Amino acid sequence: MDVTIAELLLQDGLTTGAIYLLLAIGLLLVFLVTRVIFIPQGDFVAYGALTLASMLAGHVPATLWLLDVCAVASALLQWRSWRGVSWALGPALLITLATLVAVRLGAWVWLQGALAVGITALLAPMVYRLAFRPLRHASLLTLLVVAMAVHFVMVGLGLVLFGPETQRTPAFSNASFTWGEVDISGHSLWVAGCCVVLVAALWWMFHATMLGRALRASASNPMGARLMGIEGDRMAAIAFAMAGGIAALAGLLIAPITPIAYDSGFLIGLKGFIAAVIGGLASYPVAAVAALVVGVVEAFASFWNSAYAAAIVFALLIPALLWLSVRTRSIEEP
Amino acid sequence: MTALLEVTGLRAGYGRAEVLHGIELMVAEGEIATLIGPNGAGKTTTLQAIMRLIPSQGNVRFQGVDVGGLSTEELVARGLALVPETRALFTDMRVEENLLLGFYRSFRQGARDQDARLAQVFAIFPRLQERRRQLAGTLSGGERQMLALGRALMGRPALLMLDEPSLGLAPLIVRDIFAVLDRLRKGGLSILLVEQNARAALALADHGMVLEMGAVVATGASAALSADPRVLETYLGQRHG
Amino acid sequence: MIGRIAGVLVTTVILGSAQAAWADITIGGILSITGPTAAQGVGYKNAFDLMPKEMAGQKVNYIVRDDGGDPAVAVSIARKMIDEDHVDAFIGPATNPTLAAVMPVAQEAHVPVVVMAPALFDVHKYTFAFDTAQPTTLMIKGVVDHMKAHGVKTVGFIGYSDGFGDQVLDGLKLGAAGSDITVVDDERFARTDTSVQPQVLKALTHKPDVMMLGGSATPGALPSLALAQRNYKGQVYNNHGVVSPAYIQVGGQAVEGVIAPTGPLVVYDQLPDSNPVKAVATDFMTRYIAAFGPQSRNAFAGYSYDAMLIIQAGVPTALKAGAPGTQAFRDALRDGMEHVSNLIGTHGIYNMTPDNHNGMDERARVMVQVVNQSWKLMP
Repeated sequence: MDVTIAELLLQDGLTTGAIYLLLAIGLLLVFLVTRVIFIPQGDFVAYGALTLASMLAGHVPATLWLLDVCAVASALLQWRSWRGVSWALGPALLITLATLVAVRLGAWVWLQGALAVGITALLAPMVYRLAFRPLRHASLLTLLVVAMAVHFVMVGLGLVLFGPETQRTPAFSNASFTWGEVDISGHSLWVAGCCVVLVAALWWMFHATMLGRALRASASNPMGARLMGIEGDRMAAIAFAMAGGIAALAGLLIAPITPIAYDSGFLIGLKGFIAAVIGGLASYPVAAVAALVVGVVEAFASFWNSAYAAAIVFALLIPALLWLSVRTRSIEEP
Repeated sequence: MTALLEVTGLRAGYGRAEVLHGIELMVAEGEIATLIGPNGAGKTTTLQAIMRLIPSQGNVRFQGVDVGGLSTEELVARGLALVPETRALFTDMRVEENLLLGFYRSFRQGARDQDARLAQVFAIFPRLQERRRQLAGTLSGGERQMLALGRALMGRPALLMLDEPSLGLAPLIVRDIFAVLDRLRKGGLSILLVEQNARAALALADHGMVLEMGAVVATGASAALSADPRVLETYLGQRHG
Repeated sequence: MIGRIAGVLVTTVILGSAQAAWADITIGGILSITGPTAAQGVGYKNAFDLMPKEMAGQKVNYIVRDDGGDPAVAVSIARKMIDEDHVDAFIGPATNPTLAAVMPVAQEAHVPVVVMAPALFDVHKYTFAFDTAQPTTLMIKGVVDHMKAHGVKTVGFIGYSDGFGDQVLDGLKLGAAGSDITVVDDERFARTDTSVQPQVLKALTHKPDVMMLGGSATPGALPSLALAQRNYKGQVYNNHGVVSPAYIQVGGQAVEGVIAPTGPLVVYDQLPDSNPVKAVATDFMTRYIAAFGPQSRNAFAGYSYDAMLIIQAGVPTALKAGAPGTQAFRDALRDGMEHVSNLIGTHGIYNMTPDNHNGMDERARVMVQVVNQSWKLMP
């Protein structure tokens, strides 16, 4: 292996690692605020990519109707509260109209991309409302089982909504730069850029805004947060929406590199999960670094021995879990 | 004196075991009321039930309005604040961030005077200002209690409920904290103080209630209760006569 | 009174036995309509709508069930169809894991089963099993022949890290044996991998004359995308598992020029009139497109249809041996299917023998190339 190949592998690994990083952050966010291990996150990756692919093909994406059905269902669940009903229906209605217009006019790709992220992001709190909220006092294990069930439902629905074919979406940029002897693809730079901007935005939000602090507070001490008047439900819905949106963005970033089918998301999400677990399901910075490591290890393992690449990546968990089991406090029931 | 908080027939428990068998209590505007009683009498449970942290039945009126059906968050929005026995601090966040989170509810209601409120809290607890960049988890016990109190004050509550503020603290610090409570009362704040340290609590409070086995067994002005032979014997450790 | 009850009973018995004697033929379809191979499953399933409602004057019922790609589910469906529906023959499964699970069940119950994926099974052990799909070696031999004709010396391989990848590689090695073509590298990927750049980089370090790919369906285009990114100039070969319009949709310009083997059905409208399969393939595809639209065109439906043709060819002999639903019928049906000769299907011409339950020859293979973003028959 020469330097050029090493640099190319590093570029490839960091690109996929950056995508895993986004997923790891979303997973942590949801877990810390709601104690739900967000297994369906990978499905949101696929939904995001397939929603955009469907819009670019000139169709109204089927996810939009799914969103509307879920919105009506969750509005019915909280029919007593006018606020609850309007919060359930309002955003769904707005994005439905915007999407219908955008598809009709064949608007700019980036606008359609933003709508695809928006639709997917709105779907996530609905999933929380319908599947997890009724069980919010249940044990971690129960929530995990429900998360698994939601994943299977979403895969099944994905097949119905998008069909079995894989889809690709256009790259954010087809430009290519030469740096030394290495070609750097414009899309890789976009992935890195999106990742940096998003991490910076999240950092700012968590540390400089009241909402961000409230999210951290709900994660840090749920009882304390309630006593500050921070509504657990609202925080959970926001955490889900953010994770759903992040996952959809990750989908748009992956789909130009590798075609996505309705069931492609799970394994991609799993890699993000590995990173989150290496971070002890508690630390954003450790998870972020771990995600990049997972991406790079995957690239080099695929080069050296492609038949065992997946096994090598998953084997990263073993030392991480051993280390965690020695030194971490238990994150069981509060 | 008008009643700020009025609780009647409050029942609550954990699972099937009922701990509170119809509590009656009252806190008047601008006073410090104290709820005293032995370990396991149900003092903490009473506060949790009022704050709807656990399911409860009974009538709770706050500022003359029935607030029985409201959630914890809604009660906070109406001006009820509880500093729990555990302090419930956000230990992995900075002192200043903890304080700002005390402002969350007011912020949601449109208030933007967080800097003024921070300054007030720092005036009361200068130690917190020194430690403002530190993580709450690194504070000492006394500082934690100050932070928990300061955080509650950031929300400008109408009624401040404190659960065992003296627990685990050195006597000197307890004295400081009680002095602060006294100053707050002078500033017009109403306080419901739950304490095992009955002597100190009764010395500070305007009126007291004695809880035993999940029911209020005695109530009256602090001075009168301090003189009550039964209270003296049981809680103040004095043999009468 | 007793007389009337007896009368009713007797009538019921007579009617019952008459019904048994004239029972319909029942064919069970076990397909993976959902799950990882759902993209193919829909094609296999649609073909059932075009199958004849009668065979040799006998009414035929088709029951199609979805196993979701899960072998355990496929087995329980097979058992249920045998015990409750009394099927006379199975069409499918069409994936290697599911068909490997169902074949022993069918064998034990002595029910003919026509699988539809290239499966290497022992015909003397699984005497009731038949296969309508071209053997991988037959397909890959077309690729190797093309390589030989163009003086290729070194081949790099990138394929799925599963049995399918192994089959393609084995076909490649078998075909190359005895020639001066060497396989210089063996790289693997999974259909859900986010990147195959590393594998491509590795393969290219060996500077192969050409690349052979062993993925199927649309993810089979992944290595082509990475190869194009690395500006690989050599010829890229793929296998029959990727030949569909969706593959080109996903691969775009990166798959332009890719050569692959496939069944004649896929390019039925480009076949010369001299091609013996053309008439059957054209008839089937015309009806298929009329029913499901031009977008639905695929190769998989033809395998279901050919499975039905093989069963149909065995039915006349079977009817002489017994009524549908009986063991005698199924045994004779199997015998009849084993002696099918020169049966023209949509994918090729079937000549079954006791030693060969696939019976296809080179007429079941054509070579195609992506030219101007569509599959073109190569002369």
